[in-house]
Amino acid sequence: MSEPGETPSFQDMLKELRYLKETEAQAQKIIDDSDKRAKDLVSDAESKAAMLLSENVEKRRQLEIQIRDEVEKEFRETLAKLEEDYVSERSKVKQRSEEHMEEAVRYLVRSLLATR
Amino acid sequence: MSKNMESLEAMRRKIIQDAEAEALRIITQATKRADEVLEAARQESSYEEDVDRSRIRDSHQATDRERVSETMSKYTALLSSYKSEIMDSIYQETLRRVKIHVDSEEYLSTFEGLIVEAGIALGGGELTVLVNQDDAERASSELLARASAEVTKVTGKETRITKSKEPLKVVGGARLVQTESKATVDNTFEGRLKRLKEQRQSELENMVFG
Repeated sequence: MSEPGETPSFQDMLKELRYLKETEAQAQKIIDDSDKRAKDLVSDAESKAAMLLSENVEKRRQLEIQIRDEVEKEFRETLAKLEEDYVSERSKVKQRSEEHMEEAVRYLVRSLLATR
Repeated sequence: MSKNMESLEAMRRKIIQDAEAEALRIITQATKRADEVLEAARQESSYEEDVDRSRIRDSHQATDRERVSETMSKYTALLSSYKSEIMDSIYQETLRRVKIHVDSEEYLSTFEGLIVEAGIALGGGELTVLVNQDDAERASSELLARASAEVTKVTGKETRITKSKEPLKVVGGARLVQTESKATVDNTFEGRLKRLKEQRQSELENMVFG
């Protein structure tokens, strides 16, 4: 290596240049490595996000099935209750009409035969 | 170490430091971007689960509400039709018993009463009476004369009731038509029953169904 003030020899200049080139290559490697790590980091995050969203789609599908089943069950129960109410009401109507049919017929016959 | 060497070494350190700083900046930026991607995915997932639960439920329930409403209407119509059947059977039974009365001796006075009542409702005058084939025999000239006199007495208008040759297909009773105005009073049992049904439907249904 040349001393300050001394004109460096070609060999020295070549050595210094080579040293700086090695340093530049080292620096470039540091940046390239971090670039690679950065890409991996983002890529990992995107994979996780995609998986999360895909899990979410499946979760939504399951949720849809679960809620549809719940609502369908409630609906069937409501229909069964409506049918039960109808059968019970029909039975009450039948029983009460049988009890009062004679009274109604007599009333009607009386009304039809009654003149001034 | 020579000064030139020191300067070269300082330059190397600076280059490496700058590279490390740039590397740190790249990694920090990437970490931030990765966090943002994950956070966005997390937010989208949690948002949809909350909102979807009520959205899906609401959409299914809306369809079911329509189906429940249709079913309720169906049962209401069935019950109403069942009640109508019962009322119809009561009316049929009523007419059957009236027919028994028509076949009895007591009917003649009822028959005369029905003619008089209709005549009074029409206000007397020239009246034509329409009856069924059996009642045509019962409506003798004496009976019609008595009825005419009674109507005249009540309405104060000279009344003459004559028999139509056209027979009605009814259980009994009489339909009277005023010759001038063509006004009609249907006092057949079917006509009277029709009026009773119209005027006292709710009373009758209350009596039968409570």
